[in-house]
Amino acid sequence: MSNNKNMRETRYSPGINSIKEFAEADERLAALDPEKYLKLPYPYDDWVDPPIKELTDEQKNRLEHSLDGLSAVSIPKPETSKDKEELVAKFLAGLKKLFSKENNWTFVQPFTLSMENCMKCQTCSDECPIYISSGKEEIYRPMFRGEILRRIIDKYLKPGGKFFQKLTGSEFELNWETVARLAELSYRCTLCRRCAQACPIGIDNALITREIRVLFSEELGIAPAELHSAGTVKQLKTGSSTGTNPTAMRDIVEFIEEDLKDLYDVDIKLPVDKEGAEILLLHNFGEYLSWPENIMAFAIIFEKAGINWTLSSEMGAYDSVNYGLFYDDVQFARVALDHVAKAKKLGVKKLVVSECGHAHKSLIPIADRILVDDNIIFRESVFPLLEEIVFNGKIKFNPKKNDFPVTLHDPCNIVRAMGIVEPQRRILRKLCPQFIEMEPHGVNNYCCGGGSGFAIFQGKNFPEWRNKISFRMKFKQTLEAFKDNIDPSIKKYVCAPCSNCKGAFRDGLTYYNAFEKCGIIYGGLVELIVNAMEDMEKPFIQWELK
Amino acid sequence: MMIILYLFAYFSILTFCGLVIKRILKYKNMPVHLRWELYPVAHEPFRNKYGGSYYEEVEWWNKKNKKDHLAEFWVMFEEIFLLKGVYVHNKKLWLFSFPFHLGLYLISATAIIITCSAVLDLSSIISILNAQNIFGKIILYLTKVTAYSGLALTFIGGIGLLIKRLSEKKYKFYNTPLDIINLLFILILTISISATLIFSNSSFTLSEEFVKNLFSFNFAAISNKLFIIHIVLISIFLLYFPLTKMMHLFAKYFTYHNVRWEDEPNYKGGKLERRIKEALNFDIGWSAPHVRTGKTWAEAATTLPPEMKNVE
Repeated sequence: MSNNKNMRETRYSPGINSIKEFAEADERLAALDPEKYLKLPYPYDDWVDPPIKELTDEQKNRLEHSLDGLSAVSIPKPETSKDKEELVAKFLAGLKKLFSKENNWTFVQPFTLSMENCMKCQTCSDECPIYISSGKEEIYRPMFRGEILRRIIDKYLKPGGKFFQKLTGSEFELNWETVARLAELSYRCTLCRRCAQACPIGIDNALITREIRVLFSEELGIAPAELHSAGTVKQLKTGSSTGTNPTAMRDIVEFIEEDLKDLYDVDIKLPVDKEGAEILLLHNFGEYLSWPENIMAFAIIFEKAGINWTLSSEMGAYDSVNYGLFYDDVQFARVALDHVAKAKKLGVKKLVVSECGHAHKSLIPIADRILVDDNIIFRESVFPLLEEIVFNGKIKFNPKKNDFPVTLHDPCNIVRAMGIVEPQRRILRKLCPQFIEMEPHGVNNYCCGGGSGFAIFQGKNFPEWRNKISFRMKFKQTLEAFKDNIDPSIKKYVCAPCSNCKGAFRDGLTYYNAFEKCGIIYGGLVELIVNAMEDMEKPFIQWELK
Repeated sequence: MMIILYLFAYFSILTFCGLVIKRILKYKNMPVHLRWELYPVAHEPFRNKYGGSYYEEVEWWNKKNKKDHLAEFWVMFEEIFLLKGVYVHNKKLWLFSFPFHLGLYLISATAIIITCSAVLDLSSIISILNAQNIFGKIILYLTKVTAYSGLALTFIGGIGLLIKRLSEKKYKFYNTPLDIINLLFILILTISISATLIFSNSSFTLSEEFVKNLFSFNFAAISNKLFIIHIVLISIFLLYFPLTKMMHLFAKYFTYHNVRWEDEPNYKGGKLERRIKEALNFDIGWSAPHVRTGKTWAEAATTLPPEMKNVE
């Protein structure tokens, strides 16, 4: 016990004590003490998380990690004082551009409103799952990033800033450490916007976080590889952020058709590049690779419902991913325009986005403000269409096939950001007799912890942080929803109709060993729909944690 | 000497109005932004109760997109006058924030009544606050209730907020001297207004007279020193207010109407499309190599750098 205590005392820094320390402290700014993490309910009430593993010595020497011991952005430490000064100068230049209508018309109005009017009432703090789950780590407080930025602006961008620095609390020198820590800190928020929803004035700390990311990407060329070089750049170059090219896509579709036959005795040819189709269905390509049963389920439903649909093998039209949404408006626009161009080429009536939250938000409301003239094509969510199919009577369902506890995770981008709340619920109420809501749910949901790209961050020690901190609140909610059936012999299903959310659930449930301890698996909505179909002879849902 | 007081009052009122209008125009004239609404959107008919949107319908673009303006008005009322958001999410703060804000509204209402009375009296229509009939007495009594309750609520709320700011870690950590000065200034004002009302201005006679003098450019002498101090303090506050975050009073309209509830879809040939086209023609000045600085947004989005060109 005393050894443990000594280890704790030596390992965990006390955390940050003042804003000034963000710029001036030599040591790590966040304590990240597992004993302070949010407590989980039974059967995890005695669960002890091991400390998040340290970066290797080589990584520590090479990369900035003084924020909390993580390096999501992989910012190399500058070698010379000239490099350091250049980083600071570029940061300040970029900060000015965030307020210019030419450079940042995309968000200058909401960003300026949020930067100029925060009253620091702290109403947002208790709404943030990361802040709460971490044991209220100060640097994770939703308004912390914005406050650092405001003080930098007060001192370095406003006239007389240095003279009034005492009044504005800006008595620190902007150095490269501050800049690098701010870049890292912008990747400790999932952009779920729960804080914004609670703000009485309408300040959006998630947007401020996003704009910090934009500044680093668009001015300094700094962004996590998972989002940029291996994300949007790869997608534009190869057609998918997974690197899958059109030939490989067609091959994968063939494999899926074979699996449909082998696993479920369903003989369906998935329509690809079908001329005259009414609907182009756009999947996140992660589904093809990690959850092909989701692709199969869509095919079964659409074919049985008699929908005139198609997939596309055109480069860029088979992966709905648009990571630009999370960090870079130019990259966002390029990917979104590519999606639209390919849909137009196929001549479909409308583009329908399947179970992917950020693709929903990217392609439907956000892209709405970059499309003009003939690029304005009809785009919609798949959930209302699925609701119509389930309720129009063409397909017969037997809800008894889904007679196990089911709860629903609301993807932030689909629910809080787009207001698609009820269609998926009406389906679950009809087809799942043991449907239980999480609390809170709907537009007040908690993020899965994988939002804003976190689900695909697999480098260094970031996945550990995600599982232990950013997924924690969602896991707590899940356990509470199933509390009356928590025994592992009762199989339970978390319906998470979003690819990134499923990624977060996959890694989080695996980390907590939740299938063995509680019998919990996760999956999409369409799998439940197909599982309840009267004429499906074999169960569609496989009770294993994938 | 007295003319300086009047000139200072004119200057502060005009500066206040000018800076408030400037800020409002700044927010209003910003370019169209990418959609960033948050649900519930108050004007969404029926679905606003659970946070739904028109995206819940198949082929939503074929449906009439009606707006429930009454619901939107009601939500604004609750937000502005009851501080519902603070009540729901931060009850401990609401206990002080609500009386503080309500008190400020009541003080503002008193100022509006005094100004209206002065203007009507000057125009020889009616003297509201000095009418000798029962109607005048009732108005005077109600105005006194408004003023005193406003001052009391603001003072109690302000003291509470100040104690919270100075004692609770989550506020102390982020306090700047300016945050404290803002609250102190308002508290000092409530004391000065109260003192004036109690000792020399109990029926708002001095205030009404001063407003009338302002409107009629009559720089008549003011003998009451307490009232002069009061005028100086209010004038300084009017100059100070637009430089502070207290301007959230006006910004809140935009954060709600132009961001949280802004769900206007873009249709071909519509006004919105024209605004988007304008924005797409702005020149990009970002410096990262992949952005392709110097081009317009439309050009940068449609011409890929070599490292992003399709490889098929």
